[in-house]
Amino acid sequence: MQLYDSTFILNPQAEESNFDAQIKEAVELIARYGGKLVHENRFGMRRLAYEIQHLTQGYYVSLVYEGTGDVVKELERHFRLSEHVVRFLTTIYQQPEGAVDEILAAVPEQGIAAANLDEGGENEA
Amino acid sequence: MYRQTEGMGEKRRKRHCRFCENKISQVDYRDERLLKRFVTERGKIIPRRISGSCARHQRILTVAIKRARHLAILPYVAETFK
Repeated sequence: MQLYDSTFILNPQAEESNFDAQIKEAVELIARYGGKLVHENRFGMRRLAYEIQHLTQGYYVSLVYEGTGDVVKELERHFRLSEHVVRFLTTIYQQPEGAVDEILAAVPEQGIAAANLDEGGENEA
Repeated sequence: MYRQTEGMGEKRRKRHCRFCENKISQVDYRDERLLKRFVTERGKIIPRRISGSCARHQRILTVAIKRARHLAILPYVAETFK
């Protein structure tokens, strides 16, 4: 069986908004279709980079689980129908490795040569 | 097309893949702090001729940035300046 990682954004303004209940529902659904939850990660409230359904904030949750494609299919169907889920993404889980801290230290925060790329497109002669 | 060579003021630094150097094989698409450094202010992905990433890591990075955009972690277009 494959390991999957489903990240989704919950709507904090939906009626009867209860993050715990929504997450529990998803976890139960995974179990119902023969999947096994490996890890639950709540990133919490985060600002959205752009508005989705007139929202500027969302509650980010990620579930890592083991299962067949049927679990993914049903979980995504559930997300699509749910009014509480504003966005979701399922990927094959990949174990993170290596330290990103050194890159963070080496690269300036504004990005590499950020300025002249945005001015009139490419900087080729 | 001419390559800028030495003697034009600044010395050309040798480019190197930061991911290879730090032995990173996966890029987490939720890592906003990392991904932000590989897009411009406007939100465009920085080409590898500028960032120096190798083909493999640029490919991994590009996918991660696109996933992050879908989840509103990074913007598709940032209108921070006019």
